[in-house]
Amino acid sequence: MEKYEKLEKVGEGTYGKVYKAREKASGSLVALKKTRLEMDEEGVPPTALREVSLLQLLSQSIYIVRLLSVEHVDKVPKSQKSSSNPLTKPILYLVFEYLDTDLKKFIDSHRKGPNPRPLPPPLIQSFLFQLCKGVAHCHSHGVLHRDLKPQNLLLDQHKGILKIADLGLGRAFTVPLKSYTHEIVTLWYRAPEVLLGSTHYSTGVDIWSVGCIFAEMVRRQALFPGDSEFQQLIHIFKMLGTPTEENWPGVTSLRDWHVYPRWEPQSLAKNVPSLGPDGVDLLSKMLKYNPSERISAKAALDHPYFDSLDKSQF
Amino acid sequence: MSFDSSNHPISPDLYCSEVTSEVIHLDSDDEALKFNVLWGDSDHDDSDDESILLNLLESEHNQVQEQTKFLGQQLRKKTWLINAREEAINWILKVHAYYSFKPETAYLSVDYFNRFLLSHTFTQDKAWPLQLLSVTCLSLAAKMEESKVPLLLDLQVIESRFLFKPKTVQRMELLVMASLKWRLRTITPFDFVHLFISKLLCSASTWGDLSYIVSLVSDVIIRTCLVMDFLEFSPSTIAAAALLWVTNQCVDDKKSYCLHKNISIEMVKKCYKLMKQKLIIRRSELYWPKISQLLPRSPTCVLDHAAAMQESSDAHKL
Repeated sequence: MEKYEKLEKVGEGTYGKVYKAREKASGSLVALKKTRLEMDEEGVPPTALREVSLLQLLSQSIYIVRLLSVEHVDKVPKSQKSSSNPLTKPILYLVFEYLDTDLKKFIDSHRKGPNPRPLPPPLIQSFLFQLCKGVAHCHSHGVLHRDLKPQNLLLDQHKGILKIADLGLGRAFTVPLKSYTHEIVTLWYRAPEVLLGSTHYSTGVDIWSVGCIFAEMVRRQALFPGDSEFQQLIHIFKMLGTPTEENWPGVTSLRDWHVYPRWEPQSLAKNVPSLGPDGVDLLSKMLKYNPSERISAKAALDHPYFDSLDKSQF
Repeated sequence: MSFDSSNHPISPDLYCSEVTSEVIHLDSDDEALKFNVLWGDSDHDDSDDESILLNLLESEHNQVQEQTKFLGQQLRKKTWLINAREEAINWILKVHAYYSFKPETAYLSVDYFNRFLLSHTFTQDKAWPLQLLSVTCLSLAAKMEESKVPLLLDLQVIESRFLFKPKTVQRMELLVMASLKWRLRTITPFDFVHLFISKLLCSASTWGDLSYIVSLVSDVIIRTCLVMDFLEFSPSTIAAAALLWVTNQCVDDKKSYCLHKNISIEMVKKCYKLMKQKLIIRRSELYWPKISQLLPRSPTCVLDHAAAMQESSDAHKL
């Protein structure tokens, strides 16, 4: 770690603090994600292991944040520096390329502050296209992200580049029936099948998150801002209608299904008023209740919503 | 993926029926060519599976550059290490069974173990380094694959001569990961099994059949970990051979082509032959609940039914 100069703390990842730093030799900026290894009983945390190894697998895509190196240091606490036998604290640093902001901050800067204004539609188109590119790359390599949210989408504002970050909850999937746990997605972006207790989920959970992020870029506020799992479901059902066996076969058999009030679906277009018909159509395909009917990231790239986008730049 | 939808049991059946009719009428080279074209160029909703399979094979090719196949050659020069390695892997499999871990966890543990052996030398006079390596590799694999990971001390519940402090294992974890260049998400035969099954087996149209076959195939794959000679084969080859072995089929050009054109028929044959030689004899080394010895009914799409029966007879004679 002698080759990096810490500049400032810029945030918290899944399992540790994140610092902006400069590589002394080249002067280039990096992001250092710090993981304390003090929990001796479990060794290196699974989240760190998964993030690093999945990033190794996915690093070819320019839509995934690039991991530059992994550094392991034994830090000597200040209070023991004069001791002849100091108890060192092992720390792991993941060194990433640095991007200056994330999508959450970007949206917030357009919603409040001195100059509130919508995100330009071409920019939303561009960001969504890059997000779908990144997700398609993950899925084609058998990786679920499982924690897609604006905070995990890093931006280079100047170049208009969006990159997926934080694969700490990422997981390789190889079989459709594999059982997973609920160590997954921030509540607002969580797919209904997960909220209803399904442990047999797949790529659709990431697509649902993408749909929520798409709507949030348009509205500049979250689409389904629940503060509990129950409230999250209520938010979804009130807007999209309570799911039925007709539109989602098997839904009433899910572990956490209860009897819910029978809401009728609201107009999706009304909730994203500045979005054109193609955008509303794509969004509706991302927010299908039945996971098997949800559009794939790969198919989304061919949707008419992107027809007016100059794809040669990607 | 095609398996995600419970509304699609009809589609695979219809498709398989078409294939069956083609099979029934095969009696000339032209028919065989049509068969290959039908399988290789079929355009239906499994294009995503095809894309995943292609990516897996590309990743596998890059992975093989790490030269695990040469480990076999190195091991043969050190008799003591062959035995020590097998003892270490047996220990891993016992803990694996104790915690009911997934098959992938066992395979990954051994993969990390093998890759570490490639880059480090061990001296014969001390036994604890290999034991520490076993604990470490199992811990890393469990963290990659399992939802619930036992603490480092709990992983060492099974009979072992040494008990390592968590801090020691943690340091070894860091050493192993650096040695493996943090590439813990490796391609395994399990990545291919479901994709191959969906291509090869027409009659496995219910989840029950599928789960049973997957269970048998997983069993065979795990047992290949114990036999050093399988280090020569790529994960896709092992998956293909294990599936053909479990479903009691001969290896021939058509089946290999059905799986993917990039898979070498010669290597699958060689691997299959090795399974026949090694695995029946080692049947007693199972560490998890024994599966019924009955093989599944032959799928209707098996081409050389008579040859398969002959193969079955030969297998039982051993």
